Amino acid sequence: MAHSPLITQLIDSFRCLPGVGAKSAQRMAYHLLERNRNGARRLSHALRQASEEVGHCQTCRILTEYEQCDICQSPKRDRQTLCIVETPSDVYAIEQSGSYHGSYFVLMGHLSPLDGIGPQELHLDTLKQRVEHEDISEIILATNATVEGEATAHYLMEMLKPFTNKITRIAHGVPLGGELEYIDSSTLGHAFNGRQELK
Amino acid sequence: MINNRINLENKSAVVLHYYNYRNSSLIVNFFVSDFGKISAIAKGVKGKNTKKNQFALLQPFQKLSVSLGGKQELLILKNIESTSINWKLSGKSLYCAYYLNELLLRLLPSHSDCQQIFSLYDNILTLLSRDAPELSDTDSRQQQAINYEIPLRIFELKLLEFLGYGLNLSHEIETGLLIEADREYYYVNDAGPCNIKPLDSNYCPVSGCTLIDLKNLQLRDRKTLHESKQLLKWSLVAHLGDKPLKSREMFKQLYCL
Repeated sequence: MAHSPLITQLIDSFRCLPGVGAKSAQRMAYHLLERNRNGARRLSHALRQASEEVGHCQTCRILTEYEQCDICQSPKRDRQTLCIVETPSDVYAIEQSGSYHGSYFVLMGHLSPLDGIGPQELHLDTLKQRVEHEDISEIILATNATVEGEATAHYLMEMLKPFTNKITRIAHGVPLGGELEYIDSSTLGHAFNGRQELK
Repeated sequence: MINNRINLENKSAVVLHYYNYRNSSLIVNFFVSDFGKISAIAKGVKGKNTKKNQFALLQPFQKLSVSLGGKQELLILKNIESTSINWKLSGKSLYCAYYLNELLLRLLPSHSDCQQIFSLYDNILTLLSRDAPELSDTDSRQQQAINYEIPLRIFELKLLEFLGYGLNLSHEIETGLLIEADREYYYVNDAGPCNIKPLDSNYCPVSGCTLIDLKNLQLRDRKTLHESKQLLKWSLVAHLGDKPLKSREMFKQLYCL
């Protein structure tokens, strides 16, 4: 039996979500229609409002419905330290660690020479202007530990070198709870190159 | 019925590029030493609670041993292991390595023995990874630029030779005379050097000295290097088509900072 046009439309719409296939989309649609109509109304309202109103923070480009996000508005944050990350979810991951209290800039991607994603696509001009006009004492490059993340970090380092005294890159190495015999050779190599003196 | 199943067991390979596929999988372009270019799906290698070691191994610029299998053009990655110490590429040498990967992605054939190019790729990445430390004073920087350029030119020349489009660097096309170091020539595409300017514009001016140095793989000075670059770039364009190389554009932008 085929679904009615509206139900088909709802199932197809759920399939735009990551990890949701035909079967999961059908379960979600029937759950909302059979058992939780109020939840469905709340979901549709929240989706409409968020998709229409959420944009990018003018300072750090994180997703927010305000001109400036909470982090950029907060007087408690250290404005002299700037951490550059690839995606908004990286900001939330760093915030959860609780070990960083400075400001951010979100690239919304990484440089990928073979996919044609260059400096223009990542709005690096906005970043350059910000670093030129603000008094920043340290820039932390927190791009991913992939080859593309490295290429992006190198490009940013070359671009921002004239405007600040200190540019650092987050350390790569053995994860907490990691056993050396199961760690791949390149991660272990990074861990050895970045070893620290015990004091 | 023709059995077109491909089964590659423990083959030497490198990753040229990968794309995200669905939530946690990748489509990977491998360069397999005795098979050429081939794409495969690496299932469940990204994200939380997955085969994290495999995602680290699937980063480009590492020598691997891979097992692939399947019936279609797109194979399935069955097993992957690292076989030697990684090439430590950073900064400009990393962008040069990207250029090699893009050339291979665009030009390398599939289903053919490419061991010659594979060992050249291995040697050149080893050379590039030795030049990783950045130098500060102007003379050293110039020397470093030469160090980067020579391996790239040798790779381009050998790749063209391997593809069957090798350059004629020994004699003139009309007279058959040997190339003389102190004469100027006009390189005609798919033919070779001649000393009379061709009527059409499809040629590249080059000195005899550069042709001889390229033949002997001894690119000694800036002029020879510059002319070799122009000649090889022009020869490659004929096979790459209209679409420009993205890694080359990004390298230019990096130097213009």
